Amino acid sequence: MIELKNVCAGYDGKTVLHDANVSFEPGKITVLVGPNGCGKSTLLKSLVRINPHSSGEILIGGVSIQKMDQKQLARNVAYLAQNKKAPDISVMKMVLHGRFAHLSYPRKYRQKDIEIAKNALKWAGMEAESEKIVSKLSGGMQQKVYIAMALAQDADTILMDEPTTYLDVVHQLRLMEMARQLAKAGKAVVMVLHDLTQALQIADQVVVLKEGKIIAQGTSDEIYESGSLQRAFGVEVERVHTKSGWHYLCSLLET
Amino acid sequence: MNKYKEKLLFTGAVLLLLLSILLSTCLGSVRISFAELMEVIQLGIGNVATPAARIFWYARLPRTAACVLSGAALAVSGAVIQGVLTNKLASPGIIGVNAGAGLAVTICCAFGAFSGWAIAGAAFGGAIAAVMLVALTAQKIGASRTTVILGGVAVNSCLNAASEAISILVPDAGMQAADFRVGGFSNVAYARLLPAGILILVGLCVLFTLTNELDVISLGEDTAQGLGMPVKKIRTVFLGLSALLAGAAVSFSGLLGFVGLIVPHVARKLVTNESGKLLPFCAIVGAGFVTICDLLARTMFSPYEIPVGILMSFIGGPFFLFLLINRKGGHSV
Repeated sequence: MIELKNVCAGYDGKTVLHDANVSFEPGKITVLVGPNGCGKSTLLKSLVRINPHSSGEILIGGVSIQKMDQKQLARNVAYLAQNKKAPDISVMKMVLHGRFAHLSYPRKYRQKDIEIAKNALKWAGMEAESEKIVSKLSGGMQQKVYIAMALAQDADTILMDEPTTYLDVVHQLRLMEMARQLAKAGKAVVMVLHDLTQALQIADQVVVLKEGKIIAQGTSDEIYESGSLQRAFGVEVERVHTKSGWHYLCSLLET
Repeated sequence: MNKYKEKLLFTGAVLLLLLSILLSTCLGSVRISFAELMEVIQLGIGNVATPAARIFWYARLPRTAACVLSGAALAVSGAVIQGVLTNKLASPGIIGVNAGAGLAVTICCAFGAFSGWAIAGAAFGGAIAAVMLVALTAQKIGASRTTVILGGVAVNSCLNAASEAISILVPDAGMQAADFRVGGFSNVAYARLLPAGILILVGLCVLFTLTNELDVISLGEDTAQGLGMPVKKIRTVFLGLSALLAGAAVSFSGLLGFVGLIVPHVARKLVTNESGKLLPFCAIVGAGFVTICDLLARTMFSPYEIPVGILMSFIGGPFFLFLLINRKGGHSV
């Protein structure tokens, strides 16, 4: 389990995230929502020290991340960045990069690493594409390759920063399915999502941020009932029930 | 790419390199026949009993070795810089690394320090200072891929201007620096080649063991960090090693432009982007490319010789424009 206690973090000497207190549990999907620039990505990045926290404490299984080197951290937490490159290398080679934190110099892959990478590819449904070049795949397929790479990392927590960006609706839905399967497999999944319907449908826990502060956290129902979404986004949020579950509709507040 | 085609390309590149080395040692203002070459080799190392042996040991061999070493070093340095800065337009010549080494060598000459180790050390120091300046600027301002190049061009320009100024103020340094600025191998001597050669071989050997790290850092800073790489530390190691290679090469070859740009591009197109294969292939192709260019530069207008740097600029300039015109936006998911 990951716990953040009074965490402040930011970049370039600027604090973006203030006094964050939240925990991410195994087997659960947590979705961070909030307007642009509210500190969602900074929160995720603070967990893997891309934006190191300036105060407070981040604990993984009760151990402070300050006591871990980057490789130890990566063995516990896998991070899918928002802006990802699509390199001209094979899918298998890319997924094997997920084993980086498990190898020591000069980083020769062992049979075990290859097996884990193959299993990750199989899990992501990319087995048949293992010899294809990543840059030549569609956006959705590339996202799957990144997820397979994160799986090969064999970490208990997976962080995904806006994973649905640039994906068509089918690939978005498949990605959500994949996130659910990851949680079922016992991983803690933490995602930043902009689509409120998608966020509130998939989440076991929703964390609402506004201006760098966590203003609410709870189940989707609790968050909807609390009115925190209206406060965070400054919009009217209504929900309607359809056969695929609750759909959340936003409209601008009347002035 | 299938493994058979890959093996074929590697074998072809090695054969081409060996052929270029053979031709480079035999051809020039005085030709050495194959029979004479065999005789020189049979006489043993350093035996200069015949005119052909003197030409071989004192002129052709150091020159060919210089071509091979500088070509391999600059090409690998270019591939590494492109990977680390995730910018395929970057190369040691374009972002000011060569110019940094050039300025340091000019300063060295101005102070009368002409020993091989002093020159190689100064070139490395100048190269690393330039590359760090560009990398820090890029990091500080969160520069885009194009801005890194523009920053490098600015650094390049300042460093070249400083070299020019020193050359004018200290004429002795200027005399040395004139050939140096164009780039060429006409005055290469073992004393200068040996220290730089050792640095290059060490740099190449270390880099060949870090190809996995290079692939990971090429995925971008955030992804690499997420995979467990201490990015700032590793980036500094890579930039240091690429500066070592480029600086050592510049210390005896002068400012050879475009090798670090052209060769990695061609290698990426022909073989792969996987550094484990890319770097060795760049080393082989870079060595062959510079050796062939030098051979052409000294035989095309025989008995006149043009500095190889001029020939390379004729090839490299249009190639750079071609890359700019055909450049596609960065892929991202």
